[in-house]
Amino acid sequence: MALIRWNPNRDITAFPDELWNIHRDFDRLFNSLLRGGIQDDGTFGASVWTPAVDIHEQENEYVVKVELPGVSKDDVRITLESNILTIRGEKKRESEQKGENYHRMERSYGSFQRSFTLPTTVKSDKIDAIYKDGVLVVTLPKAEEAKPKQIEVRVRN
Amino acid sequence: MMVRIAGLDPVAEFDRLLRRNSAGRPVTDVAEYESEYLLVAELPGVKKEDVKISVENGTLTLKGERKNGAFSDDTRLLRRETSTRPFDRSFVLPEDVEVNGISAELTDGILRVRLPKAELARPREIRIS
Repeated sequence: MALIRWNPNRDITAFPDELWNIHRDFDRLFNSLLRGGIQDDGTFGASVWTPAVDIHEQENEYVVKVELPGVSKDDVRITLESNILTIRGEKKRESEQKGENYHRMERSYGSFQRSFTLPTTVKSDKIDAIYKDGVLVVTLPKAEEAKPKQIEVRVRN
Repeated sequence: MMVRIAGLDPVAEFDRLLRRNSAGRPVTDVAEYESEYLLVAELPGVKKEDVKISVENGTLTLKGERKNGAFSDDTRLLRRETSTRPFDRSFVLPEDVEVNGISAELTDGILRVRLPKAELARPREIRIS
């Protein structure tokens, strides 16, 4: 028998991925119940809705894309404080007709907040944001001093 | 994988949990009203022309692509949470849906599919003469 180092986690890590996914789903469910309890409107849990974000860096700017389907642009706030970009807001449940009876509810609602530290300084007065097709696109132009510069260094003998 | 629009199907739900992957399966609410069902799916960043809705053998299918736009060569990805995978999701329609009356609209990344109930299936009051 080969001698192998005993790893107490080995059996656990050999679990199939699906079981971990279920584990995560339940974790999320219980966390949301623990955090929020029963809300005023009779629903359980605090909303644990986190919008997906992409951040691209280009030579002269950063582009931040946030998926906010069905969020009104008046309910979104974007702030920048010493290189920390914060996007917060609320996704409100739209009220449809009376007499509704839900067969399936997968969408989540509630407030969200995401913060990102930008690697370099940006021109805070030139930040632009547009909301289109349920996606918020924030463009942050880099400050002059933050743009890549080539500096030649002479090596001495 | 299909799920029924109305009523609970525990086997399908468990299956759904196992395969849970938000990327290929847009999150969807289904509500029933007196005269129609309303299916609401989240499709942020998806254009109208990139969604295909079809009904076949009592099954409604949403298919499409997310095109996140091309980026120039100098783009560096610092964070990637969204998906560009195509999506494909099917729902078995309740029998009382009037298939010819189905309509859909897409605004602010929200797809709304209205599934009217057949006239016969709507509740009505019958007066005793």
